[in-house]
Amino acid sequence: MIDPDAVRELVRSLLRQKDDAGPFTDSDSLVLSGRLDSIDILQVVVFLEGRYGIDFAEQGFDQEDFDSIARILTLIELRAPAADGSRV
Amino acid sequence: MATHTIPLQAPAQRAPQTLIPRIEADPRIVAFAQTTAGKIAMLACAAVLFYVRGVRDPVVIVVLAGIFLLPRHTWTLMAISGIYWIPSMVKGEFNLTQRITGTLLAVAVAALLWTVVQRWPKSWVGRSPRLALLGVFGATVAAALVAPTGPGSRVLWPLVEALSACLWIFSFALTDRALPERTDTALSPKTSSPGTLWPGYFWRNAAMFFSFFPTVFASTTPFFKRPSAMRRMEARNPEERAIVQLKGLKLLAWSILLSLVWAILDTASAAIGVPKLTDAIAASTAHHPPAWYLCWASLLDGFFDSALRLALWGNTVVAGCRLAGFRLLRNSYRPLEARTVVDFWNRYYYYFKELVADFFFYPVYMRCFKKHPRVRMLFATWVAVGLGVPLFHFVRDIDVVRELGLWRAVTGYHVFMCYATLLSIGIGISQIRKVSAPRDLQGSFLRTRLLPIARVILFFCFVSVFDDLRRTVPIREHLLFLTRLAGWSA
Repeated sequence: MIDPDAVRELVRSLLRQKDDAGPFTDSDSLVLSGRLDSIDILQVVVFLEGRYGIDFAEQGFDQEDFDSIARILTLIELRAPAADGSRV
Repeated sequence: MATHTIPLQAPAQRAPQTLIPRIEADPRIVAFAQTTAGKIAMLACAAVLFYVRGVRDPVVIVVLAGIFLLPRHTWTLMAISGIYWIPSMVKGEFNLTQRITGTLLAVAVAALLWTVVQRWPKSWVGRSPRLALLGVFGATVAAALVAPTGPGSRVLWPLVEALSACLWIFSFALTDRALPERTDTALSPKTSSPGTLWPGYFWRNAAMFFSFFPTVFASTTPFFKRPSAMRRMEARNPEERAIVQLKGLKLLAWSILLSLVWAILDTASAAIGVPKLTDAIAASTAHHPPAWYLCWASLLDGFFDSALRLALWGNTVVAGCRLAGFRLLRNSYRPLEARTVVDFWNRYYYYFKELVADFFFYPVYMRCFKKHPRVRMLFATWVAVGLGVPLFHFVRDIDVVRELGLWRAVTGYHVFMCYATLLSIGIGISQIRKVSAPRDLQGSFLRTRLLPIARVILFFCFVSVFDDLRRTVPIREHLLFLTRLAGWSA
């Protein structure tokens, strides 16, 4: 089951660590806009590996797939073996 | 979902400009910038600012004029100008015909690989286009070394040089399988369809990078990644384009102010007798080495000098890209505010960090030591910084192989390898600390700001002793310089 709120909370906490308390929508750019950097993306990767069992070694990795909440959710939907495709 | 304009900097970066007015925030100026008169005015400003900054090739302004007045043809104009400039990236004493031949052959090699990637995505080249390109490059260098003289060398070495200049840009272009027309939710490579990219897709991406580059400084770091990312960074309407272009003008003005600061610092350090770092290192082995405090002064002078030079260069390139209508982040953003080593690495030379992360760090991180988080991070960082950074510079400076021969070029590289190893250890530890113990923002200014920044500067000053690409200076001289810093005499 995909939990969009958990992804949003993770991104919010990563931004908070960077003194960034600004709002963001699901479609806002996070990587290309410079709000999240490569280390932050790694934390999202570890989260997705642990929670959804996504194997980026097998399925390929592109930093731009993490550019917005919407893209991360789509990534989970397409790649997570455990996800059933329905969003809570 | 609401669509928002992507900011040019992270909110933490959105500090108000005090020296340069925020012209892009004034609706009247933005409206004027969209008119023909406004575009001509911006173009005139850009021409003057580029000239003052030292970028004096008129083709830059001609290309910009085309982009300003015919924005629908931006990609075509940049592609044509990019291909025009590639031969100037060929280093060495080759005539124009040889440079053009080398360039055309390099483009042909990349086109061939791109065709294979698109037609046969499941072949080895299709699955590993970067390795294939590196393999072609290595084989060309080997062939050029086997035939050092004669007609073969007059073709092979320009090809090697052209490939060296384009290698990383071509690599990015080869690995982009996302369709440019796809929307925000596009994913690659799982949802992409190889073989369906439109003609010119590869060329335009490869050429974009060169459009404003050789006239500024010769370097091979891509500022644009894949075309799909470029499309996301391109201004989407005339108003957004005007805002981005105004920000480009501001950045160009800022780089001129920085160049004044750099000139003042350079003059001041020379006036008080601070030796350049390379001179101080060389003098350490002499009978009369500089005093320890002068060694420290030269180290700090070298640190600030390289930070300012990089900011100047990067700002100029990014300003050019913004004037073309692309929302690029700055290459250097307040590096002296970094409180951790990894933060400095991120702020100091953003596009090189991105390249190293994309080509070396992520592939290793996704595959190795998954059950051991710290080892995973350290190993991936070592591969990226300890091996990737030297590989990048070795490819970039391939002309040294032609001048010194392969053996001396490789063995003379030990000093820089030492630098890269030390840097990888520092960045690796800093990354682990960042993940496992996020920094404490509460506390006194001294504890939360000043001391962390001083530690970062000290670390980069220390490793910069070994940041030497000359290949002819033994590491003994660098180690002796370290002893001088500690106040010991040789």
